[in-house]
Amino acid sequence: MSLLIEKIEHHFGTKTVLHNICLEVHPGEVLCLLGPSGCGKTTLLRLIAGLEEVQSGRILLDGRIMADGHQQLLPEQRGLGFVFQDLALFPHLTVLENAMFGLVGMKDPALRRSKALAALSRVNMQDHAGVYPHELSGGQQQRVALARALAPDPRIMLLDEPFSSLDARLRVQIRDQTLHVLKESGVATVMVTHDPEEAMFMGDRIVLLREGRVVQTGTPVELYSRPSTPFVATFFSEVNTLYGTVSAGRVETVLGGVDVGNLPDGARVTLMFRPDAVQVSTSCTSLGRGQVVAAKVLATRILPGATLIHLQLPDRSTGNNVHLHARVPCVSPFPEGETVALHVPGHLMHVFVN
Amino acid sequence: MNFWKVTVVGIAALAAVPVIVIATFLFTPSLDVWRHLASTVLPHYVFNSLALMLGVGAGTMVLGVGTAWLVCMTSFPLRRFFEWSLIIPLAIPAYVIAFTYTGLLEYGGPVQSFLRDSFGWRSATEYWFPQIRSLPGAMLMMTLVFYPYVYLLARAAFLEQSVCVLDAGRTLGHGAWGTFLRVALPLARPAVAGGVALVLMETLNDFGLVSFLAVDTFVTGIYRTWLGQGQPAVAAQLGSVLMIFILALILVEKRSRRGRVSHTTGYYRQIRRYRLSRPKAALAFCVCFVPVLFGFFIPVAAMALWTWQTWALVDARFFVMARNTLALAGISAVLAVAVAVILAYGRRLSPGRLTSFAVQMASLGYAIPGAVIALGVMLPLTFVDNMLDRVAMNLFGVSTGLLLTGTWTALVFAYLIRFLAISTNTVEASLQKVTPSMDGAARTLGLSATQTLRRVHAPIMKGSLFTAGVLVFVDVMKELPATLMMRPFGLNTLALRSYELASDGLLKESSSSSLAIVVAGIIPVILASTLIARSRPGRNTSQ
Repeated sequence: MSLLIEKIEHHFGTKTVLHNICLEVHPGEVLCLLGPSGCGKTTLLRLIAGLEEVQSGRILLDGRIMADGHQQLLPEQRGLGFVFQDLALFPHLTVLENAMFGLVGMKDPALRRSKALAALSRVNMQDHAGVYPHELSGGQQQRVALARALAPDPRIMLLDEPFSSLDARLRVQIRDQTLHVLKESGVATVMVTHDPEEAMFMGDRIVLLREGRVVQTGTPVELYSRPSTPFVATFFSEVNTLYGTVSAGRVETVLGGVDVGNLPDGARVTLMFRPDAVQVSTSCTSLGRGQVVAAKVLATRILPGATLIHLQLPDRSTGNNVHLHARVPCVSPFPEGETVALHVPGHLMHVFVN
Repeated sequence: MNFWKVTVVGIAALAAVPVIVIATFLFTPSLDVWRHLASTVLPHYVFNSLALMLGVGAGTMVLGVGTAWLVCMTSFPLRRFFEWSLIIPLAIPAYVIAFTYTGLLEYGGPVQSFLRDSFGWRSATEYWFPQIRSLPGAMLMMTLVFYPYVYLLARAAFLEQSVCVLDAGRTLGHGAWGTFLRVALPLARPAVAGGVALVLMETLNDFGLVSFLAVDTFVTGIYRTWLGQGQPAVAAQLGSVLMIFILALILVEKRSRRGRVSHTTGYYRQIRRYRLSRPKAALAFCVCFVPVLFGFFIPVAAMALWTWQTWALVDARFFVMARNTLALAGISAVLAVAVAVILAYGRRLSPGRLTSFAVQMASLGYAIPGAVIALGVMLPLTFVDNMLDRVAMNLFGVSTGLLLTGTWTALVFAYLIRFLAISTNTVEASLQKVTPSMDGAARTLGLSATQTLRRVHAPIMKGSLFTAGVLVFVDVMKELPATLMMRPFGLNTLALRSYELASDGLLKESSSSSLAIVVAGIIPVILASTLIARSRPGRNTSQ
């Protein structure tokens, strides 16, 4: 079951919301469409579902054309599952009736019923089969929506911000369950989200969109550790940013010289590195052979799973102070006001030509 | 232009015909007519209409806001009963309450007879008794049946107010009364203005009450000049002036909707009601009891008694009339719901400014008095009829007579224009319950568009469609001016019969028809009051 999207362009009036989108979803894969609101990710999902008409480009499922600029399969002919942002459970039907709703092709009611129940038990909602959606909690409703979409064994699952209606704690729990259910069923999945952490949690691969264009596609590791643009780098976490000019393949910064490969002399570059790339120590020797600079600890804050250290370094070229964040994976032993040693490994430094 | 746009705009254009016809008279004034009107009846009409608006507006505002505040914010005996029962006077048409109170309070009625017997007076010269058939009498009776509009909207506004805002008022040093005046009332002002605007529209629309009490207003003027003196053009001139009043009220009402305060906090808690001292609680009880007693229980009791006394009149002819009424109301209700469904789907499937504007135009009739709509429908129909007649005469040498004028079709068309807003609002509200993603869900789950309509839309909306039908049904039953002015030959309805018997002075005899109308009128009131019982924000957290 693979989905192929070729050269999709889409306009709302005079506004172009999608530019030349090409991507492929492999069988059993969870692909996340990630991007800030208004980047066109939901439109792309609705185009795949057939809820929006393709204006130009093609969408193929298992080599069969779902839609191109001339013909469209209706949504009901595509055999896919869609979980909506507002879940869209039918309020006049019970949980079981909701789950049975998509089993239109099955003639035998007993079979339909057992299949719907099986789908409900996959999300552990079989005990609530007889109640109406409004009697359920938000997390339960979400699970029913997932079961309803999965029940007809869709060839592909489409999820539009499926966890956005849940509060933070529940969201973590439900998305974990959802991932397990999707992986067990082995269905190819496209999920839309604006939350990078959610995309990294759920996605085998991530497609990062911005203003209707694909910025970068890859595994979460690739996007996180090899961002192609400053936008990608900053989208996944807070970053420290330094600026400099290339001279003989190196850029001088407050952290010392950084190798930038074969960039031409005089090129102005932006250097980005994540707070967790910064190594901090009280003594220079423990940081190994790399370049080490001294910095003052401004403040230390303990956060879940890490300690955030605010550091201040003098920039001799400008005479100003540079402010950096470091994130170290322990309760920090560094008292405020103390001078510490810093090192940022060169391979964790992302270099972008301006 | 797709199918939906064309259909919706077409319906709106048809519905706007009477308004446009009458409005054109405003721009083509004939000076002779005006001079005549201005020197004779116009000042009188203007004075009475304005006085009625002022009196009924003030009366309903005080009564509506006062009872709403007491019911929402204080606790006193039978408060929960009053919460819903305060709206039941709405079930009684204004003309019915006029007949009943005239019957009770006129010289030969039970009240004055009782006074004479008790005090030994022998004639009207020996004592003073307020004249019921007068301007103040009209104001009082209209206030009794129209205040629920203000009550409903004011109550909703008070309930919406976050308790925090009111508590803040208290902590900042204002007492209960001060908080009411300085916080609650200003916050509720747009809603109250909207309610009063509705009341004033009803006041201007009324024909039966003012004509029976001999208080001449625009509407009675239209009736008299058109059907009494046979001068439809003059009647239309009057109607066009009335439209200016209406337009002002529509603007007030629209503004009040926009001006409704958005509350900064969604924090609702069970309102901590003011505990009233014993005398104050007794006073609050009386304030709420009096309108319900005089606006509903006394008139209904009187009508029930008189119906009993004149039971012989509930004969075969009565049932023919009742059947006519039901048929007329039933046809109108079904059509009104059908048209409303078309309008609502048109706006959903082909959204845009044009369709929104068209739907609003189609819903304009709720503000236009029935008499004006009747005139606005009859004038063009007569024109078309005459033209058809002339064409037929010239071509075939036969007279077609009046094909459309004075038919059920014309009358039902007028009802549709007048009451389309009611069904449209209800249907649109229920269609919103079917979110666009439910459509999407049904389609991706393998249903076609038609199947989606049948299996998702229909079951979710059917209750509301029924409600919409009932609301229109009852309003058509109660409608008097358009029915009277456009009645097809030989048609008699409960409202017409009640009005005609009362006009002939047979008040007791008219009460059986009136009572039938009131009984039907209670249905929508019950619907509304069940809503009231469930309508506290923050009460239902699961939704």
